[in-house]
Amino acid sequence: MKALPYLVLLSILPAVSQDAGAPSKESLERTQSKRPYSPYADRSFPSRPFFGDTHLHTGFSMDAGAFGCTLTPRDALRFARGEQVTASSGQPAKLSRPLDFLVVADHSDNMGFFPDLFAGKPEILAQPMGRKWYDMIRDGKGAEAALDIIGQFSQGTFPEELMYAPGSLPYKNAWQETIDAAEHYNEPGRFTAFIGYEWTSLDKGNNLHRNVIFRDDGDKASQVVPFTCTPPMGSNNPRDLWKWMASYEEKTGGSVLAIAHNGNLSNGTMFPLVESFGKKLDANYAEERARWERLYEVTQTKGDGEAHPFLSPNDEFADFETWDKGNLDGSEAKTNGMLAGEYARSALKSGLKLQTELGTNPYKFGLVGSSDAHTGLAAMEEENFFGKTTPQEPSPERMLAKFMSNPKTGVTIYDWEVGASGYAAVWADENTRASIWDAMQRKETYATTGSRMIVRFFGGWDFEEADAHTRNPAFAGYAKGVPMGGDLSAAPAGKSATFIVAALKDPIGANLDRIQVVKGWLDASGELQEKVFDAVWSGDRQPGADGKVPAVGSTVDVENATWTNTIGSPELITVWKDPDFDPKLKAFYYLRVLEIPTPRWTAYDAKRLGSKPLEGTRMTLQERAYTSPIWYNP
Amino acid sequence: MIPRLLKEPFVHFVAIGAVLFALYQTKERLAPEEEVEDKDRIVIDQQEYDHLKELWKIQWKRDPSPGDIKALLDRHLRQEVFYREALKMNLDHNDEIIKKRLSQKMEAVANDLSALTQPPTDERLMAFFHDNDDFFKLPRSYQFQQVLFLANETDVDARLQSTLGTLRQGGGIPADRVSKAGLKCDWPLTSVHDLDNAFGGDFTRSLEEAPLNEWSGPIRSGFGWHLVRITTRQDSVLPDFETVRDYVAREYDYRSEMESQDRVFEELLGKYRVNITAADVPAEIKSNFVAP
Repeated sequence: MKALPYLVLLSILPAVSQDAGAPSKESLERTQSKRPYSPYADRSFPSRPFFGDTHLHTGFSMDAGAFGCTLTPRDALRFARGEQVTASSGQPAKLSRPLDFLVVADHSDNMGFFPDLFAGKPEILAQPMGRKWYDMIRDGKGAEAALDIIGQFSQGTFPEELMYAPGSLPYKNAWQETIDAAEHYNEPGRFTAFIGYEWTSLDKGNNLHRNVIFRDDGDKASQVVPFTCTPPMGSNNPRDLWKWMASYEEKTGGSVLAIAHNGNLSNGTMFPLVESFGKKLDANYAEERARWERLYEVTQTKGDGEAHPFLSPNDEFADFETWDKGNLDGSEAKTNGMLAGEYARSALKSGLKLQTELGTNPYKFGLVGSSDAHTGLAAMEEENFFGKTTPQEPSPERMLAKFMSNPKTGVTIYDWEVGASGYAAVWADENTRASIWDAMQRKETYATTGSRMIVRFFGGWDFEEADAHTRNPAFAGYAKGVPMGGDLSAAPAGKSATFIVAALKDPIGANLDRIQVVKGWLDASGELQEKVFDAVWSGDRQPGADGKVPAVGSTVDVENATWTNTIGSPELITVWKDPDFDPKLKAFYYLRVLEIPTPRWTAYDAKRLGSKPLEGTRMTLQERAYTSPIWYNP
Repeated sequence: MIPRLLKEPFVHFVAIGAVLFALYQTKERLAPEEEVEDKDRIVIDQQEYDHLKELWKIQWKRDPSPGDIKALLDRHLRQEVFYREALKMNLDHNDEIIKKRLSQKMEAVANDLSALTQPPTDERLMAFFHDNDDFFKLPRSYQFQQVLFLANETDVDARLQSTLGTLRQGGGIPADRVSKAGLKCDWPLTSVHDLDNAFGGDFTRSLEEAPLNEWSGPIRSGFGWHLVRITTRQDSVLPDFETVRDYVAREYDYRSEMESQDRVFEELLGKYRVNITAADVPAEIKSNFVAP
């Protein structure tokens, strides 16, 4: 099946958004636990996804500040909305195109001061005015209290006794400032500024971070303080984070979800198989993890976490922006045995097995990409990359230094290995907190490594080639099946799973090489299996004897950092049928979309800034997208 | 003069500092004798203890167990002891993180002062809106129809010309071109920013030169070639103030806070004699910080 030029893709109904208010959490849970055959049949659907970053740090994060980042959440939001800002290094910075949403996710630990007022510091409570403010905040009137405080201060009526108490000075703590910035820049219909934070759990140098995202506005979010990691106030055990999340929802009636950080620096602890923090995995662990951790950050500046060549030796595209030398601080070197516990594909597979043991699949996550930049700048395009940290903002030296070097273990990572990746794409009905959050909750998302291609993926039992040829493949997709992130069950007798598989290039980016279907399953003997299928590709290439479509070639001129769209295809679409479908076996399917090769940020730097790359520096790459899986549960 | 002075952020800044200093001094003087001398005493009274427990409960949403309380006090005392000893050893001095944190606090104070001294009144916002009309202007917009031919189609020139001919004679858009590649054919009035986002390439620049109300092209986008018919071309206009009031207010707040930070910095910098003795700092840079 090759790309047929006359095919029509991703048709657009007039952009009608009739989603008056989002579905309640309860109703969503109902749909998810007992999904009707096609819950989307009557739904209006969007014509393009929203692109954003769910993981951006600003100078409010202690480490970002220590690196020299001076930008605040407001600067970050302005930049994401497409406005020009001055980077911490003094350079003007602007995105080629605005993003649709942003989560400023600063580290919860050391996020400014613990709000003493909030916690009722004794000196404050002893004073009537302090007591009043404390009660106001307790009653969810934090903003009013803050205004009152400022007012009293300006009029010289601020109680003298309170002058001593650090928490009562008329500046806001970092959490309140973060909430205020998001409230200020959130513009429903145009740009969504989520309230969020990063719970930065580090267990013996292993990265177990989670980004926590609120569906709610500041009135609810400001009733709590972010969960921290340092005992006894906080904990670095995810089970405790989930408890915090549950109590937030209980207390405020709000909604919150967590996105697990790319696990590639967790040394196998992101997706445990046997035990976690000394406690055996049980049904409760599986249920809670599946409930709270809806998405997984599969690609970001610190490497790509979809697949690893050791785990997937037959996958020639598995070795992409790989960081596999050690954990977050390089204190422990990586061994092959750790890899299965930290790459997305293997975790999706393990989940199938754990589901049979524990009753619930703990690793049933959707996929997003995000930056984890510590610059306040979500700038993840190869030719407009502002680095991971402030010292990595554009300069002739930035690809010559070491990102990390631990002399004890010999773990060294060079700055050129940092990737200009990625973004989260979300198929939401409208650009609002509620709508985007709900789409994240139902996993209708995909990850990109920085490009903005449009990817569609639907699973069902009755898709036919003609569905790819209609004006509205998405209409057929929603009417006869489920989108990415959904579930198929109860295969009709004699039917195989079918899928609409489609992608359109980024309008300012490179053509597409191919779309692959990645399938994982638990076979009849209880072994986990995986296979990568080329579903549709550009040109008239023929699969070789090994069944693989040959490489698309390259037009990249590294020296001049250019390429041409003379190979590849602007769009690819097909209906793909699983040739090996077995209705008795649990399985998942997701798409990997590959662009043709293009210059990597290092090539642009070498050309524009005259840097001389270190030996071994990668200068080209194939940008890609990974969709959330569709699961088959017999 | 005096009222104006009262509105100066710097004056507030200095005044707040003076008040804090004075209060602190008074407290020191009035404190009971033994407390002043007994600096090495750490008291955890009922109030302090309740406070610690409350902080803990904010995170955990339950009462601490005896084990938690032990850990809580242990953590508190550790931090307090290390903190006090560190202060004695001047470890807070020239610590990069502490410096940054304190300077962030000062910026926050400057921001709050900005809100106090330059509140966003209607007059101020309106003046700001008109002073920055270039910034607030809405971009040029187009209403148009388009028909796409993908860059990798065969015989694309011949197909383009034949379709252009049909359209010019009043024919409809061929069925296999409707919503080609998911791009709708009929575009309502849309800004060039959004069109750049959707089409890429030089598409919007080419629209500038396309004629009104007739089919023309082909023009290039990131996907291939397009025939277009523009029905409305709306030039960049300044929107009605009321419709963008919130946006103006946000921009006003941001810029006045930046200004306030700069002014506070400039004023405070004036208190210091900066002397850059390093030889290799270029003179034009030195002059920014050093009074002539």
